[in-house]
Amino acid sequence: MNDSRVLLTASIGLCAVIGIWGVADPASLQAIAKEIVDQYFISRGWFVMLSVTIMLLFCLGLTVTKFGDIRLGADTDRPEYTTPTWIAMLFAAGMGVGLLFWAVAEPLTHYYLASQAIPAPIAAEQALLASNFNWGIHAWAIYGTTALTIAYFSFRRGTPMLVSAPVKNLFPGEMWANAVGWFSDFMAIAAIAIGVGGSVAMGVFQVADGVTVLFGGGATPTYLVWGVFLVMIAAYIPPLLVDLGSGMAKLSNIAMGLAIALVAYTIILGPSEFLLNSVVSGIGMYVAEVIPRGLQTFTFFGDETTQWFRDWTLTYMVWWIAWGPFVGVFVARISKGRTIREFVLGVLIGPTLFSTIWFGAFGGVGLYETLNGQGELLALTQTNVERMTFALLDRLPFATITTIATIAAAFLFIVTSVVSAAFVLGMFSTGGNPDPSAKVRVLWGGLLGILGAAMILSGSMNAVKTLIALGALPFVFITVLLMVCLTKALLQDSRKETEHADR
Amino acid sequence: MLIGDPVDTFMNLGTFAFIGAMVWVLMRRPSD
Repeated sequence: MNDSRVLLTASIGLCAVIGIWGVADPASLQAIAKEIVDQYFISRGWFVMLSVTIMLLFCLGLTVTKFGDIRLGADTDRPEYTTPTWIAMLFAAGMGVGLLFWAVAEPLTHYYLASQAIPAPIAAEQALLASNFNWGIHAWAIYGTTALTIAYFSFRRGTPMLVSAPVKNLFPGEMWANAVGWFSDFMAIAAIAIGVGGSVAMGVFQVADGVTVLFGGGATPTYLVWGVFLVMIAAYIPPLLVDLGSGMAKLSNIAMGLAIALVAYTIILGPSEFLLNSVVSGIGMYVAEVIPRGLQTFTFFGDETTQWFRDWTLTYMVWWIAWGPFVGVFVARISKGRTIREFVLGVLIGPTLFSTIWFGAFGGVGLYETLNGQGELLALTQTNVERMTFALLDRLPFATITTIATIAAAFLFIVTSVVSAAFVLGMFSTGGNPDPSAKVRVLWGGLLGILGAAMILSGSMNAVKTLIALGALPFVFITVLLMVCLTKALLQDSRKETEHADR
Repeated sequence: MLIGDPVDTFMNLGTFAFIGAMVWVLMRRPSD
């Protein structure tokens, strides 16, 4: 117990130092963080891409071997949640609000750059491919690897639900394992707190922005930002008080329902045949390119392309890796009773299919307007990228209703992020208890709110984003270590079983 | 000259050391 208190104090201390530095002098903090992140991306970009590809192949490999039959839990355990609810929950925790805001903006931003070098139709295909890749199966392979390792060790070997548990379990009492384990937990708590605090701040700005658009546009007033912030706190406290099934599960299902309705609405009321073609060819390109793309580092291209690669693909990959402990522990917690095969296929295929349909439809509508219309949306990528989703909805019928639906979905996705983060932080701070008490959860919910408020006050979202990337860098190594631990444990356990059967 | 940036070389020596450590973790027999 004493150990976890030291861990907690140290990680909250680190957050406080960074928070104070961020409010006092955001420029210098950002400059230092950016320099480190840039150097890391230049030197170790190859390693990041290689690692995420190996994680993907590792996950897929497990499904075709006998290891796929192993159940995460006792052999008699069965899943706690239905498959659609389970996928909705993992999606809400893993991506959620980002997808709403990059739906049109990301494909068009890629298109803008690509169309300066290659013909428009190919640029459009490449833009869609890049977006699908950044939000695709590699991200879920990262989450899947982390979640699977934590789930396996917790449900099959009875360890606490901590990032440090696998390495400590395999090498009990060894000093290096304790040190690495402690550092992993410490970094995980700090990264989750800063990451989720930052996403609360960004989410509040985005929701407030949406409300401003709804009432005619212009600059977003400060009182509205704080109003949204208070409503959000009021909205996430109640789900923290009830259990996961009745809180998080319901909210995730509603948020996913809204997101699905938005895609369906866009496809049906927009240029349907163009969008359906765009979805299908997007899936085709993605399936054909997914492995080579994962190993593509753009090293023979010019500076502009390599910079683009670092700013987008590498940043996304490192970002997913940073969210790994949070999403991984949460996904592990809700996946008890599934077999490894069920788990991997569900985590990898379900969400990836949804995001390819999502970008095919929203990216497709943006590209349609660019190729066949006035190109107003494309111009927005250079001036007002954060309002692009609303700008698109404004060009389709019933804009008021869909804008409200988007705001509601964004709001719910942020609430579900905070609820799941508070849950995971609760587990960490109680030494890996899978069911932390309501009091602990609310305490973390409150702390995340305070961090979010500090970040709103600092007003420097770019500093926050660079910081998240900085905190993420060690996790590239930690996640690979987790994968190695899982491999070792699977081999050990299967050897033991064979010996047992021989006897 | 084809000599690379020393910081880059240093960082990647670290990466190789990490890969070596992972092989060691995987191959090592438990102490008990």
